[in-house]
Amino acid sequence: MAAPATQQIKIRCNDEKEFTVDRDVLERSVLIKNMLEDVTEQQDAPIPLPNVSGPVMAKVLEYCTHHRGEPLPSADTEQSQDETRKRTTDISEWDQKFITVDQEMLFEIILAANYLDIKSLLDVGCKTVANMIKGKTPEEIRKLFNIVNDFTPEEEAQIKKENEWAEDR
Amino acid sequence: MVKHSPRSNCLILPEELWLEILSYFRSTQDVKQLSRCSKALRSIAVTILFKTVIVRPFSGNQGLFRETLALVGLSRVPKPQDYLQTLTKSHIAHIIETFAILPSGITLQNTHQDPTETPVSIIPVIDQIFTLLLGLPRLNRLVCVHAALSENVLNAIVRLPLKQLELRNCFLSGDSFVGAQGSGTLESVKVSFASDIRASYPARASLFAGLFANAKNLRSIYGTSINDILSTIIHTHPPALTSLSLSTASTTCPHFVPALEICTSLKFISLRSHRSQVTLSPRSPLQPGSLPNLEHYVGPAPLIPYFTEGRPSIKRINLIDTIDSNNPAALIARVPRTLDSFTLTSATRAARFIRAVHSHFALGSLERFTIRCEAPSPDFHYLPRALADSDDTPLPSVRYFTFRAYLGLRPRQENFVKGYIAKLLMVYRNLEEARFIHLKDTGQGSECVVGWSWVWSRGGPDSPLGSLRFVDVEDESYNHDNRDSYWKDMNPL
Repeated sequence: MAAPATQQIKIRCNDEKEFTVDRDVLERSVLIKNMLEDVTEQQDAPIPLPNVSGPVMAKVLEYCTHHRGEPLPSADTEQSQDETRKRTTDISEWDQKFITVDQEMLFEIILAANYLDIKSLLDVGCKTVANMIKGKTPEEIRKLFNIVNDFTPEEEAQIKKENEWAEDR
Repeated sequence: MVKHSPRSNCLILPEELWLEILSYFRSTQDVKQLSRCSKALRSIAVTILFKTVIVRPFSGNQGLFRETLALVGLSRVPKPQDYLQTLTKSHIAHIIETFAILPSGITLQNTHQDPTETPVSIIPVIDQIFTLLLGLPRLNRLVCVHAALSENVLNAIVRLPLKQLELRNCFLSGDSFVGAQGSGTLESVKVSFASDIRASYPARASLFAGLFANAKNLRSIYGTSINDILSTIIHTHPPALTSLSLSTASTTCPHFVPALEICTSLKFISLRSHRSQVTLSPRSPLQPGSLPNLEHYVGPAPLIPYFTEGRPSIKRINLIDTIDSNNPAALIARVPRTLDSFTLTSATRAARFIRAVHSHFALGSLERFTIRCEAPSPDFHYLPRALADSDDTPLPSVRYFTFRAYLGLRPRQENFVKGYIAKLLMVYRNLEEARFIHLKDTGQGSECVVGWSWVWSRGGPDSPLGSLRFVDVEDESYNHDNRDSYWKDMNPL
């Protein structure tokens, strides 16, 4: 039987931090939605989320609360919209403000969105990283993400040459 | 903006998420730059960079060609064949899924266009390339444009375990080719020849026989050699064929009716051609009950009854070449009113057709109505006139409307589009979405490409006037060849 919309659900993160959240907010996560649907009786024990820390979950819940009530992409429309979605890296104003965090948090949010199966949040995170990289040189990208250049000069020259072969399509 | 953190490391993301991020890059240039940052990022990026490989061996400059080939893994390669042997052993060989042999000026998106310079086919080099293809374990798509194909190459093509094959405007160099048995993996075939006269008939027929043999997975055929294609269908009975597109279609071909009667799984048929080459009277009617699954017909108006009468499965029609009809109402009257989607293409007398459509579907269930005018002419004026004339026969069933034409507008002439919408809403009272797609004149004959569009949607109850959005697609991945799928993706009209 469907639970009332105001039902409160407890979750526990990997640092033991617990949250009590409205069910419809949590159901932005397909992972949690499926878990809740599998449970027939109301349980008091919190749902364990071993891959997400408290601070990251707080951000994820901020996103889910803001977007509560919006339709979730269904499985069959998701694929057909895939190409369209990928063509644009536009991010709404609220989402842009929301994702203005340090890089460590940004990557943690992307990982959490992937684990919790929140497609729209994953899109926002991936678009943000893509926008950060666009138009930058390798050196600028390395500096941006603290990446160590582990190529030898010969390998770098070889890669540059190989890449010339890869055409735009 | 994202704040920087000295400790952050993007490499905590798994490969699958990096591939998701890379999918947002429109330009290969950004992927290339990322691939030069570190070995870890390189290993991810190459799967994008080299999934499709294009060679352009037609310049006639063997030195340049050798240099091009040498770019994959080898700095000094004296001969192409040495390179070919080495590539099959390199890591890139395991990544390549699409291989294309193209003249300069042709991309994978515009393979139908003429090259900017006459390609000089180098048959020995093409032969060597096909030796290479046998060493690409994940290759599933081959595109070859304006190449002269020897008998050896044809045999290799037929045997490759491909899913998609596209041979555009190729020359067949031999006439004694005997088709080998196909690999049975083909799902889609697009074949057109530079000249159907120059390509000898026995070689063409053998090629199709080879490709279609064992073609249990073949779903889609596009071709210009209607006789060869249809006779091969009769002989091979491809059981999964759902899409058949024939260009230079001659419906009086003796194989036309027998071939269609075999295709019980066919859902889509397209008969496009230059008007002077169309013959519109098939030799005999289709047997009752044939084409039981046909849903979508694209073709000239006089054949509408041929493909619709007694066929309730038809839900979509795209009418092309309407110029001939002096009596649109009589033609439209034979279109089933149960249609979901109706498209008028190249409609130079579209005003009369639009009125006929409105009158015919007034009591029907038509949901999607599209008008496409491909030529760079000022025919856009007919729409307001036709809509004004149709005020008395509103179409309450239409929810999606697309007008695709040379609109004669500068970008962002919003008020003009608003005028269109006001007229539309008088006729299509339950309209949810409308698109006005502006074609740009490329200056090359009748060729047009999309420049930009306006998208109107009704929105919620709080916004009865709806929202209007300007979409500039000039720098998008849009092009002439993928325009149908592009707009289908944008909105499944």
